[in-house]
Amino acid sequence: MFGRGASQSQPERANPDSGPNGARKPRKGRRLPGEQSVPSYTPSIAARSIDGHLLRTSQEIYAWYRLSPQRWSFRSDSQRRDLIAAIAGQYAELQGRWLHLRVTTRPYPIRMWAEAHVHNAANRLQDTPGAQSFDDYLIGEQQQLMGRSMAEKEVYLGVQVQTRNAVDRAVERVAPLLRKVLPEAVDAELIALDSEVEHLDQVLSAAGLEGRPAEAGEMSWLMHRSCALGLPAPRSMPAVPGAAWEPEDLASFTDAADFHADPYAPTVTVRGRTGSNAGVTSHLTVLTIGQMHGLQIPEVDDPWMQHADRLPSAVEWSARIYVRRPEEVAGELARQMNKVRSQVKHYTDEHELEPPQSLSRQAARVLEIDDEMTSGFTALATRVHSWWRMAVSGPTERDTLRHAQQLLELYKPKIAVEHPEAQYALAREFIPGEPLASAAYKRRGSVVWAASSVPTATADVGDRRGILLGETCTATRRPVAWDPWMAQEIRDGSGLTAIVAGLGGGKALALDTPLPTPTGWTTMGEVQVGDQLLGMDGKPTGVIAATDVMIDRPCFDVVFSDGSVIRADAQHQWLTRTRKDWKAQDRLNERMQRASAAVPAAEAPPGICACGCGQPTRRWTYRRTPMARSDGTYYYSRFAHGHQRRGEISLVANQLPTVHTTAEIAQTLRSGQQNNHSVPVARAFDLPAAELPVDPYLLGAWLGDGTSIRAEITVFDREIVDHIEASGQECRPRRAEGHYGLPGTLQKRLRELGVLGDKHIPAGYLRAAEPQRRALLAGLLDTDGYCKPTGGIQFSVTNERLARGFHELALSLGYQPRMSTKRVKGRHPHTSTVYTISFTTADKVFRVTRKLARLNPSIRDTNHRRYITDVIPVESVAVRCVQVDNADHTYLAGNTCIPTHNSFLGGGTVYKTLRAGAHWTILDPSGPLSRLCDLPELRPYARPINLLNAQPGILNPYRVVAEPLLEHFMDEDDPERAWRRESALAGATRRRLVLDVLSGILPYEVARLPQTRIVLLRAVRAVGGRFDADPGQVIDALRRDASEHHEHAVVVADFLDEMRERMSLLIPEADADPYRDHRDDRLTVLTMAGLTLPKDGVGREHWTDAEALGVEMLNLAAWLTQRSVYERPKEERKGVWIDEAFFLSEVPTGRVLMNRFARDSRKWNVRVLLSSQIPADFLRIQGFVSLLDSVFVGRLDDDDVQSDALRLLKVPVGVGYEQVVSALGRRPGIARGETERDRDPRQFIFADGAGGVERIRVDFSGAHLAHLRDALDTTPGAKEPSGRQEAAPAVQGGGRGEQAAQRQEQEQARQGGMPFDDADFQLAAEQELGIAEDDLGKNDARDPSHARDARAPEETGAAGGAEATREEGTHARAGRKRGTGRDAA
Amino acid sequence: MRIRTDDEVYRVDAVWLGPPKATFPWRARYVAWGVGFVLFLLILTVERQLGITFGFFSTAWAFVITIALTKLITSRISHERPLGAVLAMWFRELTTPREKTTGEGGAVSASKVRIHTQRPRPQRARHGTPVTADTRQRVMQARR
Repeated sequence: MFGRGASQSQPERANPDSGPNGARKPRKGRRLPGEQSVPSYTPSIAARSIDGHLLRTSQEIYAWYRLSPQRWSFRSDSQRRDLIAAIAGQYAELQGRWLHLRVTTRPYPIRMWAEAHVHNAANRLQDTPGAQSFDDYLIGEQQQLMGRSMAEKEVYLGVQVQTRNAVDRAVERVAPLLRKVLPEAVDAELIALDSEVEHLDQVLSAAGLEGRPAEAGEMSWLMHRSCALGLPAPRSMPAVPGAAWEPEDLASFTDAADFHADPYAPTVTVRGRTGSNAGVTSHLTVLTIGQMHGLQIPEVDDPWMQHADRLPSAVEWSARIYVRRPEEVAGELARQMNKVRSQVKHYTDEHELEPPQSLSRQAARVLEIDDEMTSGFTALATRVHSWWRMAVSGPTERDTLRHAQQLLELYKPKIAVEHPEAQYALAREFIPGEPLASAAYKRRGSVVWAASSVPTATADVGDRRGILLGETCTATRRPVAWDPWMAQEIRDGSGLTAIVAGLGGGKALALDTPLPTPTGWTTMGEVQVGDQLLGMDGKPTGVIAATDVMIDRPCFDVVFSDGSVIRADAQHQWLTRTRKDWKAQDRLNERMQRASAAVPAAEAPPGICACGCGQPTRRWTYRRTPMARSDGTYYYSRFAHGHQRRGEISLVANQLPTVHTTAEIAQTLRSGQQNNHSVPVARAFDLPAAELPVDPYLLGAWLGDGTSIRAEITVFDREIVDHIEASGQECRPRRAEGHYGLPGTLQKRLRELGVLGDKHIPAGYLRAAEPQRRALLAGLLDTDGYCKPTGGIQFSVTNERLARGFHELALSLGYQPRMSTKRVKGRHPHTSTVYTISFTTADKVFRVTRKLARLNPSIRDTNHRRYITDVIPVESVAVRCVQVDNADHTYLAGNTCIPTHNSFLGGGTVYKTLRAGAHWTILDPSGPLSRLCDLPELRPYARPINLLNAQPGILNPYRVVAEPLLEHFMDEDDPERAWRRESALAGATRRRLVLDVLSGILPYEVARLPQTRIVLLRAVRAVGGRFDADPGQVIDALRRDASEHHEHAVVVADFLDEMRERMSLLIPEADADPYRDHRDDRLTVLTMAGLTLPKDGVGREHWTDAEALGVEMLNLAAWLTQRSVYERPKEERKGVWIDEAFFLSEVPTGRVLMNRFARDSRKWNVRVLLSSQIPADFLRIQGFVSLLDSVFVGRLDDDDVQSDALRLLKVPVGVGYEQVVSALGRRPGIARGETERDRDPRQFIFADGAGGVERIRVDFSGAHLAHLRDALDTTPGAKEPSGRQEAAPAVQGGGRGEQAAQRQEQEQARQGGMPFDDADFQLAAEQELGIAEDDLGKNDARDPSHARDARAPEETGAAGGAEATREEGTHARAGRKRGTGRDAA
Repeated sequence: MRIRTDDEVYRVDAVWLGPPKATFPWRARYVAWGVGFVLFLLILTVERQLGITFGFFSTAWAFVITIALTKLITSRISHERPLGAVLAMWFRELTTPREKTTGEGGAVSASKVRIHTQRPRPQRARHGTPVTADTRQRVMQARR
């Protein structure tokens, strides 16, 4: 092994080992009398000892450094060039030295990840019987990444410190003698060494290489891997000695493996001898870098050492670089120039031949190099000699050679990779300290060339112990793990994460994008007007217009009268009907009428012939007069007496609908006040008759006026009963007037349909044939419909589902229904909204004669055309568009079939971390995430809450801000003081929140007035900031306002009272407390299904009441999630996820909430996920980017949106990374006609907070996660996950333990005994939140002054009596202002 | 930035085309000339050692062999693999450790160890002590 026989025959060297710190050991040759000589060991490698990071051979000393990984991706070209220049500069400072660059890997197999993950999952969920256990889940995770590894690249650089020249060696030999005479001479070498090593440390720690001296463990690893090159990494490493390595200790490396090779074999065989590799044989090939073409780094090419990263197996590098001094190079260049010149002369002068082109090229290159070296700052022109070796290994020779061949292919064609002989010698070169194998394949270049290999460029992202998210999509596929709490626990970073992924800026899609339809799939290229697509809410939506393909042309958004929008390019032609057209049509009708009326009557009135002959005549004719009208038409007929020139009626309107381009439409949008253009609508669809269990008219009547839980109906119109009986159902009158029972199998059939107890229109009825649908419509309208005197038809119900069903029914019959909501006083919140659908038609939609009579037959049917109300220019998209008649004008398509990528990533993260022992609170306004609570392994620990159906008072602004407890501040210096400050801050936050919420609820015009703010602020201060208040008290305080604005206060109070019905969630009932029970769930999902939110881009002044209320409720729900953080222990891992966080930038307290999260996320170990589709919403919050820890960016299609997303990622904008954002997850060339659902994993750009930014693919595709994927798949038509029952959270909630109200009692007790010296804290808190010195009016000039007074004692830190008396004074003064309500915060 | 190596500069194929105005039909590097010259001398020496006398054909054959060998050697030598490096690599290849198919040592055997029950004692029977039976027995036992 390593030629042990040869080494033992070498003469024994008497090397005294004197380390750099001057420890001296007795010379080996000198023995005490009688002592036998201990055989000394000479290692078979050249290294002799390792002292710290210094490796000494018998001739040389090398200092070894570990280089830090550098991020290469998502950096601008200028940043990359700077990096290369920095590295080159560092190399240039090492002139005259030999460098040894070693790149090795430290493997981290999936097994180790699993161990780390389990170790990290401290508080994990108990296994639920019958569901997947944690072990199975972890097995599934490991199987998904079978055979992969999270190997980490380690780069070491050894720098030659000094050659020990002959004088030094001689000095060393006579050291004991010389020490007595000249001690400085002996230590001189060591001292010089010390300063030189320090100088090297400094040079290498600069930016660029960022090397730090290698530690003992790292040196051991490097030596071990180099001496056992090609073997798999050992499971356990030999222990690192406490002191320096002696030569004997080096045997632990050399003993590990044996090398041997056959003569001129292409591989070397390595056989392990010790440890876990004992008996393992592996084959090793060493390749070397040959000639290189010019490369364009970083614009076009990657650093050339990175190509090897693409190989699935690890490649080790060993490069020997000698940095030459400029004087050596100059001479050489001159010599080469002479050679070239003499050759040229030889060719031209002596033989009159053309010299080969290469000579002139070489001459030019020499001149170039010479110029580089002599001009200006020459450091970057320093030249190097280098030899670059790569080692690949495999279990068999064939595998190894295959890997070698793959490497060759990877580097073609610009870089040649050679496979020389003397493989064993080349393998030895990898060991630090060994000499160069041979001088062949020398690469000469500048330091910039050597630096452009960027050995430390890595694509690492994430950590290695967290949940598995997926893998990187770079050249190396490396699994990505992320521990959401590592930043807070280890790195002291914040816990904010932003997830940004959109649907796409417009609905324009590529032609081959698959679009789902109710019956299957079609593609964008094939869809036609009248086809059915699926809308966002899962309901089918008709295609009412489809454009042609547009490429790179300016586009416009065409807005229709019902709100739908279609994007079309400027030159697109529309067949629209303008005002002139229909005026012309009217005139034609008039003409026809008159023409028919102009048939000569039996008795023509007498008259004088108009031709001028003056005779009496009875004939009437008409003629076209050439009279021009103001718009140039010659179109007017006049009746004239006479016989001449019978005019002609044109049976065609003079003006027909013609094509107009979008640009023209934009020009002629209005004529006078009316919309000028209209477009026809596809008609109601024709479907075949369906098999319906219950007669449609009967069902409609029962849905309108029936008892929901029985087959009974209450009608007062005999005709309805007649119609019902005509359909075959018996109506049995009951005792009460108008009640009829419907005996028979009807109840059973209703139960089967699922409408018993849950009134809605079953889907089958919406797809029935037209007569059946009309019967259903008639049934509904006969019972609950109303015909307005003007002829419009209305249908009003309080059941939203039924209303939506009716809406769709009316749509399907070709009408244009409009839905509106109104608040009424009902018994429950969910019956307090009445939904009214109205449409206009002259069709006989009723059957009851009473209502039929009110129909207005002369109603002009406006259902067949939609008017264009606006044309807005937008930037161009390159595809075809379709328009769907859907309220929110979106539909599902292809890759964006799953409407939110955010939900998929977030849901997977939540699930996996729940399994690993975290507590999550999720705010999901639209509700698909509550399905996570249904998963069997989470169900006992999960609780979905629909806030709109929850107890009144659950969103009380005073309660959603948590009250700080003293025990939370035990780790501060002064807990008492910190707690009081926090309490003051909490009080101020509550007041601010109430102020903002109430201002937000008020109508915009009222809220805008300054007096409103004044009176609200006054009332809020009157109520105070204690946690047991509620907004009702604020309204009462408004009424009691006795200042100069009291009329306005009463007005505001009236407005608020009017909204009180809708604010029931904010105001608790008198004796109820929704926070009384304290539950211990792992997952709480807050949904607000049915909440209306304003659309993007709509200004505050255009929000409806419901929308404003919705935004405020969402705001309060977000605060509620934050509250849940403080109810748990500090160290526990908690998570908060707020989906659709865009509204946080709309409300002023959104920023306050964000600051709270950022401040507390580290202390309270919270991971806050904020997801949105528009990154600008996050950027609008000041300072958000600096508070962010990690970011996930999905595909975004809009340019501005892409730039914003790059800003969130802290990646340079405008250098071309926007294309990366828009190309995420786009599959090139989807095959047409594919009906497979797109279940491909999603691509994101992931920035973990530790500096890595990479493109990753989120992959939850393992078989063990199938049920999770089904739950998260919000596409309609997805297969219903089997075994999923209806969640009954109320039932489950009762079963869980409920704690008593001790916490509330504690809080009350504490409030009672709290002294009043918090006014200063309180004012400070108010300052912080911006509500302290607001415009309270002129007569409150005292406020700022005593605020300053009160602040002063706090600043000087005076404690004790002075403070007490001062605060008593302030309290007395304050008390008068505050009126009733003790401000105890 | 355009990143290039300097190797181009050092690959000057110094060629001797022949005396001025008389161009050889072949293009031979100076290295080849040098190697050829040395080889020629070597081959002539070898010829003499083998006993082949000086003659036209022997020289001609020497020439031919020189050309062939020179071609062989110079094909292996290039700017990438200079002569010194080629020789070094050849030497390293020869000294590569080979697979050891036979084992050193083997089963430990104690057959060559001699065992005596008693250790040899110095012979004090020379000065008149009669050779008793036990003495003779001892001596004979010692000899066994």
